[in-house]
Amino acid sequence: MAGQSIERREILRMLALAAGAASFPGFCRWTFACGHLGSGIEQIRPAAYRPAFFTAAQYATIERLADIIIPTDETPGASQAGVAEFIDLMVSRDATLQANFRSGLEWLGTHSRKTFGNNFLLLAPTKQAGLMESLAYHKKYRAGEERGREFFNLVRQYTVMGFYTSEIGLKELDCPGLKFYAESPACPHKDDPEHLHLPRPKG
Amino acid sequence: MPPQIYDVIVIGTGAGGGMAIRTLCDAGLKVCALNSGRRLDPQEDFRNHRATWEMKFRGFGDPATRMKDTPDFLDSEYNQGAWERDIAFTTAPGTKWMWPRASAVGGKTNFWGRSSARFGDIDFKAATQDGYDADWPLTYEEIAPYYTRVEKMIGVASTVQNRPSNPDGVYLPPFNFRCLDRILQKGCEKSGVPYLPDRLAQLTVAHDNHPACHYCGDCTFGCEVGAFFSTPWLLLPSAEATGNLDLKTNAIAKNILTGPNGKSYRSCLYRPRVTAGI
Repeated sequence: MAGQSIERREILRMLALAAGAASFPGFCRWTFACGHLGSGIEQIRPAAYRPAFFTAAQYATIERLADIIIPTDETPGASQAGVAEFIDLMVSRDATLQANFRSGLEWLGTHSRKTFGNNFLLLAPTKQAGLMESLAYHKKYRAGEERGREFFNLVRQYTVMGFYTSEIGLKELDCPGLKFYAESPACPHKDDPEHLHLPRPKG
Repeated sequence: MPPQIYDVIVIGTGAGGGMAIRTLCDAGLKVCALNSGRRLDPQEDFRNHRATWEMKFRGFGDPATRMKDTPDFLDSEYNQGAWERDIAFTTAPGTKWMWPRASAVGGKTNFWGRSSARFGDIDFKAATQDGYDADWPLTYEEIAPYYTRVEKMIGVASTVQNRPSNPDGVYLPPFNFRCLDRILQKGCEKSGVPYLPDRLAQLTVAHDNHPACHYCGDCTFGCEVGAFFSTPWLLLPSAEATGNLDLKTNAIAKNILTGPNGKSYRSCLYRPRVTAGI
């Protein structure tokens, strides 16, 4: 694709050369500030993290739920991407989210004790996953678990938000990330019949 | 302090205000411009060159302060702080209406969609066509030179398309079609609908001392280098260079005072913005 291989540094040099650009307020600082791009900020490590909103037990539950939703298998999962920290940060800033997460966690605790006689975190992983599956899949829905399903949707939403905005998650999606181009990028698949290349209208 | 005397007071610095400011300053009039917000710092306030994981709230914005029920591109973390939140507006009971306003010099030209088509003759004579309301008091031919003047001033990229309903103007080279465009174009070809480049106020080549676009993608978060048209990047610098502009920021227009005959506008009272919680 046109210009895709051009190094960022080269693009910045080119931008700086563009007529008069450097004389505009903010431009020099902009080019300077971009020096941090690609360095990547180190993800917060779970062990060192002190939750801003959740209690230790609630936080561990959120971490476990996120890992059931996006597990670590051949690719990294929610815990490597720091999803629980992200959820804790977002929830700590919003009273409505706090109420929804708190009541959802309470529902899960009650439900877990009623079904298996123990707190969610103390259940075997298969039992934990079993509880989640009846909240996640239409075919496994059970009557009377509407609150639980709402909570599952909430946790899933925030897990996906946290995972696929992390460096790890975006790498898994093969997201090319931020790129600069020297010229307007064009479709490179000239021989693909699905990508029709018609002549431009005559001007 | 003696009162300042200006030839013209312009309230607001968006697309209309900005163009008035530049035109009047260029014509040699002393202009005072009031803007209710601050002047943005492109490097600080437009954050679209950052990866999501480099943002505290991963680009979603701070849930504690973000406007509720707004689309992501408005008031996201990539331009949070540029949107009006001090001046309240009300909605009728049972309605869900929002009024996102940029609280910044340039208004929403900082974040706009950049689509800059001309009206065609069919638009100016719409009433004759459909029987509603009245035709414009001018024709396309009369206004066309002004379109041309503005296109040359702000830089618009497109192709010549020979469609009278959407007349051609003076254009920079067009954007290339990418894969998605090609696939859509194929579908449009089947149904006989032309798939054509829009008229975009975005620079495909350097223009008026501004660099060409570098195609990073998220224009609606604001442009750090001014590669698309916005008042602060393309109109205010030249207006300021005339020495005729006095731009007052964080100045909220309050009253417009009329002269003794009650008709002619004489002056404008404004008050400084008081930001809640600061």
